[in-house]
Amino acid sequence: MKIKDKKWIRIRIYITGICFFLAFCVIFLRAYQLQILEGSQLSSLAKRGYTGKLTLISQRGTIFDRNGKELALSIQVDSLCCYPKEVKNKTTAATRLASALNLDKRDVLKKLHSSRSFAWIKRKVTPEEINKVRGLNITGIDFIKESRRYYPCMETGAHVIGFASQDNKGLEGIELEYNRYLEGQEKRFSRIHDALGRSLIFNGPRIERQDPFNLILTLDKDISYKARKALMKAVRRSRARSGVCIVMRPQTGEILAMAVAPEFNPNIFWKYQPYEWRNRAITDCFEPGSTQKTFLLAGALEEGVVSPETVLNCEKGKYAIGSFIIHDSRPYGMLKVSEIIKFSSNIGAIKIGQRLGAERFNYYLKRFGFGEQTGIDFPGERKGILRPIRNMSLVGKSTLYFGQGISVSPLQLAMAFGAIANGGHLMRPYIVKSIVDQKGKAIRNFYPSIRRDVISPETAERVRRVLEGVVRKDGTAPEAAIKKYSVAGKTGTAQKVDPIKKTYSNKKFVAIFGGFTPSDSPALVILVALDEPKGIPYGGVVAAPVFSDVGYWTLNHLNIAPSFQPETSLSASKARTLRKNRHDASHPGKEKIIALRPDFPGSMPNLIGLGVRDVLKKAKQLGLRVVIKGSGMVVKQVPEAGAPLTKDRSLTVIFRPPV
Amino acid sequence: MVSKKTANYSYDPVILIAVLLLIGIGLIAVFSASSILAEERYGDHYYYLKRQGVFCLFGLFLMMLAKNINYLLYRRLVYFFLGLSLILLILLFVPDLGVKVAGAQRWLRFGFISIQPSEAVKLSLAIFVAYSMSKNVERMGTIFHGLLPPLLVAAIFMILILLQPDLGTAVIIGIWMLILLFIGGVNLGQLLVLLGLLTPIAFYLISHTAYRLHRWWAFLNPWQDPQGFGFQIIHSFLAFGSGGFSGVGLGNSKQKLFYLPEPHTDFILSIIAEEIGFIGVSILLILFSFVIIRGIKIALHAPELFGTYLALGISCMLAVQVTVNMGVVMAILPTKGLTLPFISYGGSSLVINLIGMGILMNISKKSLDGPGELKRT
Repeated sequence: MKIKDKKWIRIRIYITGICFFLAFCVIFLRAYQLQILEGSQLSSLAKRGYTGKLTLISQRGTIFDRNGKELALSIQVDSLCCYPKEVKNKTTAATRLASALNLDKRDVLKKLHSSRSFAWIKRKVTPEEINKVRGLNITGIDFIKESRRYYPCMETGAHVIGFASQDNKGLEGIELEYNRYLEGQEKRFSRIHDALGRSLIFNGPRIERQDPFNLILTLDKDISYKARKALMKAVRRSRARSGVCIVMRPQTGEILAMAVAPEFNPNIFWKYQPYEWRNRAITDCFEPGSTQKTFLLAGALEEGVVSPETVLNCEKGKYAIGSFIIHDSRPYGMLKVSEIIKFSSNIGAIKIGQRLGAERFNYYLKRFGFGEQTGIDFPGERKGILRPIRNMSLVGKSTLYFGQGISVSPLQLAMAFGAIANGGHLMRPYIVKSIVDQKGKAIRNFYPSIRRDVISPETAERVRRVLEGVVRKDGTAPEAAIKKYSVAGKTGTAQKVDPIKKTYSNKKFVAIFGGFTPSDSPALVILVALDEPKGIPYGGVVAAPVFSDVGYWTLNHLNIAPSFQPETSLSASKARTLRKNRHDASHPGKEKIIALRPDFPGSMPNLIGLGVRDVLKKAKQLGLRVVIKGSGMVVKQVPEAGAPLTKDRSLTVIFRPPV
Repeated sequence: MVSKKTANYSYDPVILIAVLLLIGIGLIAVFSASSILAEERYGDHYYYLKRQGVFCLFGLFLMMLAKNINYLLYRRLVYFFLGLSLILLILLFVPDLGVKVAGAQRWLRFGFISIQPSEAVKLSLAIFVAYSMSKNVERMGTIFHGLLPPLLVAAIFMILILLQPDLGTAVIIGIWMLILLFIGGVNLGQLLVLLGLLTPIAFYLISHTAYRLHRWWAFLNPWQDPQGFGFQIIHSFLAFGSGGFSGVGLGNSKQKLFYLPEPHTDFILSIIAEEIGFIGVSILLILFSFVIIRGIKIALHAPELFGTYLALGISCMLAVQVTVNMGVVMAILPTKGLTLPFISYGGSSLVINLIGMGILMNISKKSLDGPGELKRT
C-alpha cells in the first residue's frame, strides 16, 4: 500500500499543510505587529524598565570659619541596605537585624519582604553596628558608603550654618543658601540594571563637573562660641523667650558671630522644632524702642537742627501730644541733647524729632536701611515694617521718634549701628567670605560693599561721642562698659504689642543693647536683643552685660589695642571685686553704679573704686588739688572722669566704705 | 514488505542544511540567553552552552545513525519503543529518579544526565501511529480499528504526562494526534465528536488549577497584572518590541537580565527577537517552513504508507511545536511550558528532534525517484 493509491490522503495532507502555512503566516504577522508596528512603543517601555539613573552624591563641601576651622564637614559613613530578593529566611534575618540595630522587628521584616529590589534598612550606621551586622552573616545585606554631614561645633553658629539633610541637600542657613556650591556635582550615570536591580552597564558620567566647593565664612568660631555662651547665660538668667547676639565688623559688614537662642544642635536637627532652627537675627522683627533715638540723633545732627549741647525742655516727665500723654521713666527738666540720649528721655526724643520733622526722620530711617533687606547672603530675610509718614497720626509720628510703630530685624539694627561706627557707611552684611575649590583656590571672593553713605563722618563721630555717654555710670547702660576699651551704644526696652488687646504690653518687652567698641575706632558692632525677659526688662540691665562680656572677650581675642592704658593703681583683682559687687546688686537701678572707666590722656582720671592713697598718688602725678570727703573707696568724683582738666585743677572726691 | 530492491539514493540535503542552520542559531541563542543566568547559577558563563553543545554533537551523531538505519526497522520495534517510553514515564514517579522542578516531575535523573521521557514519547507515538494507521488503512473509518488503537495508546501516555503534571505537552500530543488521525482517514464525524469530548476536559483541567487559570487570564489580559502572571508575557512583548526590525545586536538583550523567566528555554524566541529582530524571527520561520515542507514532501514521496505517516508524524510534531511555542511567546496562544525545537536549551528535546530528522532523511532516501516511480513492494 502506498500513498498514491489513496488520493484522499494527499488531499488531507495538503489541507494540513495549508493549515500550518496559515498558522505560520499568523505568527509572521504577529511578529511584524510586535516588532515593527508597535516596536518603538514597546521598546521605550522596555527601556523605562531596565534603565535607571544612578546618582553618586559627591561629598558635600566643607564650611570653614574665617580662621580655617571646620564648621561643617562631610564624613564617610556606612549605610545598611538589603536586596530583598536575595535574603533567605527573612524572619530570622529580621529578628537578628532588629536586635543588632535596635530597630523594630516588624519594620525590618517589612523591608525584607519588599517587592522592590533594594531597600534601606538603616542609614548611616555606626562602626559598632557594622561589626555586629557583619557578624550575623546574612546574605542579601550590604553596606553602602554614604557621606554624612557633621557639625563639630554643635550649637555654635548653628543658626548661621544651618544644616543639610541625609541626602546631603542643604535645608537651612548657609547650607541652603550656598547649596549649589556645597553640593558639588552629582555624577549621573545612566545605568542598565537586571530584574533584581543589580547594575550591569554604566554609561559614564553624563555631566562632569568639579568637586564640591568649600566655603570660608566671615564667622569666627571662637567669637561665635563666646557670643553663644554669653547670650545663653543672659537668656537663662532673665528667663527670656529668645535672644540674639550679633557681632559684626562695622568697616566691612562681616558677621563674626550670630548667636541665637533657643539653640539647637544641627547634628541632630530633626530632634528640634522648626522654630528652634530659625535664625531670629535675620528672620524676626521687633520694635527697636529707644535704640531708635540713635538714628534720630544722627539725622538731627546731620541736618544741623540740634547739636549735642542744645538744651531742650523735657517737660518734667509728662508731655501731651493731642489727648495722649507721653511719659518718661524719670522726670527730667532741661536736658542737653546728649543727655536726652544718655538718659533715654522719650519726651526729649520727641523734642528732637519735632525739630527734625517726621518726614526727614523717616527719610533717615530709610537711609539707615530700615524697611528694606540688608542683602545678607542668607535665606528668609525679613525687611521689617517702616510705614509711610503721611498715613501716621500725630501720636504715631511722635512715638516713632522713640521707636514705636516700626519693626526692625536685629541685623538691620546692627547694620545701622555699624553705619554710625564706621563713619556713616551702611554696609551690606555678609557671611561667606569666599568660595574655594578643593585645592583651596578661590573661585569667588566676597568683598565689603557700601550700600550707601547715610551721614557724614563728622556727624557719625558726634553721634559716637554722645553714645559714649550711655555707658557712663549715670547713663542707661553702665553695664555695657568694657575695661580698657571705650564703648558707645544705646539701650532699648521696647514694649511688645499685646496681640489680643492690640495695645502695648506692660509685661512683655524686648531688651536691646546695640553699640560698638572701641568707640573712637570701632572694631566691633555688637547687638544684643532678648525677647520677653522676666524681671527687670531694661536693655541696659538685661542686654548690656552680654555686650560687655562678648565685647571684652572678642577685643582681646582679636588683639585689638586698648583705647587707653588702664590705671596702674587699679589692680585687676580690685576691679573684679568691684564688678562682682556691681553684679550682686539686687536692684541696679537704685545702686550707685561704679563704672570702670579708663582714662583719656589730658582728661580727668577715673578714680572710682580707688583707695585714698591711690587717689593722692594719682593727684600728685597730675598736679590736682584734691578735696576728700568720707572714707573707704571713691564712689564719686567731681569733675567726672574724662572731663577735660581745668586750669584750677581742683577735684572733689567722695569716699564710702565698701559694702 | 521491506524491499531490498528499494534504491539507496542520497537523502534530502535541504533538511540537513536547514537543521544545521537551526541548531547553529540555537547554540548562539542559548549562549546569549543563558550566559548571565549560567554565571549566576553555576559561576560559569558557558555552562548551558557547553551542555547544549554536547547534546548537539550527540544528537547529530544519532541523526546520522538514524539516517542510515532503514526506517522500516522501527515498524518491527514499535512495541519495544512504546514499552520503553511507558517505562520511562512511569519511572518519573519513582521518588529518587524523578526530578521535581517547579512542582512538576518531568525529568529523569541518571547520574549527571537528566532526560525528559515525554520527548521520547513523541517519537514512539509517531512510530506507533504510523504503524497502526498504515496497517489499518482500509479500516480507518471504523472506530475499533481506525480511531481507537492510536487514540487509546495516546490517551495512556497523555494521562501519564498530565500526571507529571505537564498539560502543555499533553495538549500538544492531543492536537498532533488529531491532525494525524485526520490525515490517516478517520471519519470526520468521529473526529468532531472526539473534539467535542476533549474540549470540556481541557477546559476542566485549566479551570480547576489555579496557576493554569492565571496563565490563561494573563494570556487574555497581560497588562492587567504586569508584576504577576502577566510579567512573563509582557517582558516577551518588550523583547520583541525592543528588537524591532534588525534587533539590538547579538548579546545585547536586556530582557534576558532576569526580566524574562526561562530566557534560554521556552522564551528563547523572545531573546532572538530582541537581539536579531524581525529578520531573525523571519529567518527562523523560513527555516522551520523548509524543514516542514520538505518533511511533508518526503511523506508524499515515501515508498509506502508507514513511511508516509512516519514522515508526517515527525513533520507535524515539529510544526505543532513551532506554532505553539511561537504562538505562546507572542501571546497568540496561552502560556504553555513548551520548547522551540532545535533552538531552546534542552538535551532530550534536541536529541529526539534530531533523531526524527535522521528518520526523515532516511525516508527521503527511498523516494528520490519521485512519487510516480516508487517501486512496488
